[in-house]
Amino acid sequence: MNKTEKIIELLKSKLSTKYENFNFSEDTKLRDDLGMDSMNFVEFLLGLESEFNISLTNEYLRIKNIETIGDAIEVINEIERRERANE
Amino acid sequence: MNNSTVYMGAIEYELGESVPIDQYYPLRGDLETIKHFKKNGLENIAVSPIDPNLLALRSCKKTLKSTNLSGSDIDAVIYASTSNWNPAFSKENSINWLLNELEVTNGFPMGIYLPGCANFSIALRVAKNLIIGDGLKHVLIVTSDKTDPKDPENRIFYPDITLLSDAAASCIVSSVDEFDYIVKDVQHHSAPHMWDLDMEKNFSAFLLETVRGTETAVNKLFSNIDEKKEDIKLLILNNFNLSTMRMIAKQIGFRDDVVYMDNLMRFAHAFTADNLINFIDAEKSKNFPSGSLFLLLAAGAKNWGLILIEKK
Repeated sequence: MNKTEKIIELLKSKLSTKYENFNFSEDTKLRDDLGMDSMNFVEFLLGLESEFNISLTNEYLRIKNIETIGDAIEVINEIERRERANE
Repeated sequence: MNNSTVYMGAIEYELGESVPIDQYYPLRGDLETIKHFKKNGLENIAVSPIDPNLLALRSCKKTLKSTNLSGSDIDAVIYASTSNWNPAFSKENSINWLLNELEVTNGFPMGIYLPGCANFSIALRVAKNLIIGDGLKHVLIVTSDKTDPKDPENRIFYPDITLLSDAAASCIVSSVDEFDYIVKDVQHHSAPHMWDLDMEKNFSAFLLETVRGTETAVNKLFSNIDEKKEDIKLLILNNFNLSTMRMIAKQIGFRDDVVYMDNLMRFAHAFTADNLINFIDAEKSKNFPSGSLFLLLAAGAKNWGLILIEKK
């Protein structure tokens, strides 16, 4: 699975079954389109950390506020890029 | 017990009048928001027509009445409030008015206004240290908060976290072994790097840093004491909402069933007072044995407070 597919699977596990056949895309807005409340959202962020083995620190989340699936991918890519640069 | 043991008791409170959330003006007709809050355990809020100083006075009078102390026995009054920032509620003479009404003739006032929901725990920390370090005998703490009636929407804690209630709560902190509880430890954590984060512009950072701050605060407490999480009989949180309270408990390593949630539907989040109100209501209703340990956690925006209390 690529990053987008992994994130969609993660979202489906946090959302109600009514989103099972939702047409997800990188532009899908987590709160506006999927109706995520604060708690769904926190659980989603914590899920991203464990799924991608990353730490969503304040430093990264300040660069990009995660509003869409695409934003989440962008933040993960940036974390991975910086980790590679530090190796 | 030794001479550094600090006791606490005479916990009393004054709540505003109960109003069902679907009848509160800014929510009336907003079926989606009402449904969200009700699904998360919120049913009523407490709305007070009187100002926070009068709420504080009523609570303090109950506290003094429940002891054999009079106002003149009080060495210090610590007033903890966020509403004090509102000039409509706070005048320079308000605290002197309160002390005069309580006949506190031998004490001095202090104010704790900066740490938000951790106001009470910081006030308790100050009281504890005034007793241990400065030799004071009886300190009266009162927390009192009320939302601004000119801005009814400010009861809604953005965007969907909770609703605010008006309340005061008070207690005596003392060196004298005549009160029901021992203050075992008080710890704090602050996250100054969050100073400019707000829920609208940095939603993801704000939420995640708030969860992390809670974890850090709890780890700090348990690294400072011999007691383990399993020793805690009851975890007292702020009355945010069911899913938030459950999530906080899970993140800090507690089971749902040790979290006190009985007051959530009664009045939602009463600023810094709900920790104290929840604690005393839980204690009165559940009849815990002597030696029981209670953990009060105030998870504020950017400041956290933790209090470990033992029942004598």
